[in-house]
Amino acid sequence: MKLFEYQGKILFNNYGINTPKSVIVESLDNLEENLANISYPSMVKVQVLEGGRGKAGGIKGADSPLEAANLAKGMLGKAFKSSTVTALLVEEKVDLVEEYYLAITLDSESRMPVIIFSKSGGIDIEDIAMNNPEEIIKVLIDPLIGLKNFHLDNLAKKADIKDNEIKKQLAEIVRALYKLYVDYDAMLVEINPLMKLRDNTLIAADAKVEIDDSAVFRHADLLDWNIRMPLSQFERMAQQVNFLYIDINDNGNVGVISNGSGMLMSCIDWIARQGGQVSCALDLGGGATAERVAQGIKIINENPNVKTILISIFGGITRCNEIAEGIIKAYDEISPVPIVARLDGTNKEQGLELLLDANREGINIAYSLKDAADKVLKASE
Amino acid sequence: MSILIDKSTRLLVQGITGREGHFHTARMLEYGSNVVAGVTPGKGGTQIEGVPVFDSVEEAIKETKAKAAVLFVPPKFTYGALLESMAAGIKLVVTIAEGVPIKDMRQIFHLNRAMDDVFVVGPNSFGVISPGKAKAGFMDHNIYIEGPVGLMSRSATNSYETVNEMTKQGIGQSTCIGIGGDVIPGSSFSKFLPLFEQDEQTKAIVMIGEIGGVDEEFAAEYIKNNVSKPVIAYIAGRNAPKGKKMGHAGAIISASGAGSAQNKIAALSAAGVQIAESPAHVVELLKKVL
Repeated sequence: MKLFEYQGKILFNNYGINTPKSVIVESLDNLEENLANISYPSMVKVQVLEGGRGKAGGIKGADSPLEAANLAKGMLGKAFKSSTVTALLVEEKVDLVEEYYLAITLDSESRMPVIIFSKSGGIDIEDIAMNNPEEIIKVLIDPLIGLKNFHLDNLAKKADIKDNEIKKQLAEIVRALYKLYVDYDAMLVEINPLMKLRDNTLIAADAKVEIDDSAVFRHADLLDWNIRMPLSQFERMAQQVNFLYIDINDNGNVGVISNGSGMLMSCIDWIARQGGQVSCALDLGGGATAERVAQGIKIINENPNVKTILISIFGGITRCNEIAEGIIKAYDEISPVPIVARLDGTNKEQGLELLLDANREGINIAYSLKDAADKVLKASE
Repeated sequence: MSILIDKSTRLLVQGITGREGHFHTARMLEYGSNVVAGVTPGKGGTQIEGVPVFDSVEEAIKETKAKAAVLFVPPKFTYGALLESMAAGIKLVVTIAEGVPIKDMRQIFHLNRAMDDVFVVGPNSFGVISPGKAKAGFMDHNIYIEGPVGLMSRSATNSYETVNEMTKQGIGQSTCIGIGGDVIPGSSFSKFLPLFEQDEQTKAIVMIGEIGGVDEEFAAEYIKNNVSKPVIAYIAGRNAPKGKKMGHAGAIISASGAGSAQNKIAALSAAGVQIAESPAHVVELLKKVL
């Protein structure tokens, strides 16, 4: 779960990390009164989860509360990228001299938290990594040891930070950020830019916080925020009935339905291998009933790019007779695009018999992944 | 031989009184697993399928000398249950649950780092099965037959697909291990490779990997220097889009391309591993090396 910038900054402030003075605008009521609580010039920032806000016109300067109010009226409640703007963060402009990058995330090789720091902040870390990899400093934290002073000393030394005041402030911020990272089950905490101001203080000008979805249940305050990533129409439809729906390729024309993540990926790979392209995929999970299978088919069939549906099942908990019944039910109710069904595992024979007996023109039976991919491509021609 | 588990392995089931724990205890017993104890705090003194239930792992070990544990415990209690078994001296802990917090598994992974003789299998895993002998997990055991192939897989469905194809063509398995689909599995390919290398029954090793993480790359490094038996790998997700979780929490290619199938295939090929194009192709390749 990703947090909005202003929510990340609330957590930062709770952990003693300074951010520019700001107000949050969630409605147009008492707007100018609210905006008069900070001094100007300020920056009006849309609160959305997508990156690249600045370039897309989501961050604008205002020289007075009145100007900020006018900007707010034009931004709040409006569409921005694939989101609707539900909040704005209006922040005092700061007098910066340098921009750093600071983040903590999980290092996939060592499986330890890693502190990532760069003196070249303010731009995308991927760009720094590509163009100036030597400017990125990493310090691994063994979670059995935790963050100690030697880590902070190493960081300052590697980053060549000589100013003792900055070194001290950076150490405090890293300590606070690490504590937040651990306490909140974060996947990522990122400050970019971490600004050094003219008065030689460090301040978090942005906040990116992502929480492990599996651990959100532990954090009542986050549940209250109830943040939702903007979903596509089909993702939303699938989520409402507890299926996972994934958009795969804009140019694809095959919809894939399966009963597990691995099988889904194998189907996508096979269709690509045979020269086709998958548009979207839906995971039924384990033990789907006929009713659920039919529901899944209806969702995939709604996507106008889908010209053929591949249903590939290896039944463990899932029973192939339920799958077959679901296919026939969906076929008779909505006459979808042609379906290729490939059933294996639990109750395979019953499932195949049901499909053969039903003898519907648009339901093709396949006997292996390869056979399925071939039949899908033939049906999409 | 087989690895990790056989008929003599004294197995305890944590969460034995729950719906899943009860159901799969019956199925494990039916298959021949030596389930000697169950643990559910507060339910000590009762029995499930004739298996005595204890309040704690420590008590269960004292009374039954259990050496391995399988957890049918919800994700939010998995960390505590894993620690309890590890602290009590259990050498094989199999955990099934999907949705265990990453921070919990990070801690388990690092605690387990120094314990060469302790194997944590899962989470988000189908378990471990040594066909014809015993199983600890929920896989449908009817698709397996005893034989010479050791198999490890991050995905349950891809492993079933592969095993089913092997069995249809008369190629059996020594032991099949569900590594699990999470971001941090308790143990990964490299930890089991030495066991398969030493196991007399195992003549060939199959690895079913997928996008995300670097476990396949680590395995490649180990294989290059330490494995003499033929290894065949299948990697799912070559055509998965970047930045999207493909169902498994761990199956994601980063925006920069790290964790891609192509990286893994390149590393494994360089280590002399044969790359299969599909589960069915795994079996074709196996026929040539057995």
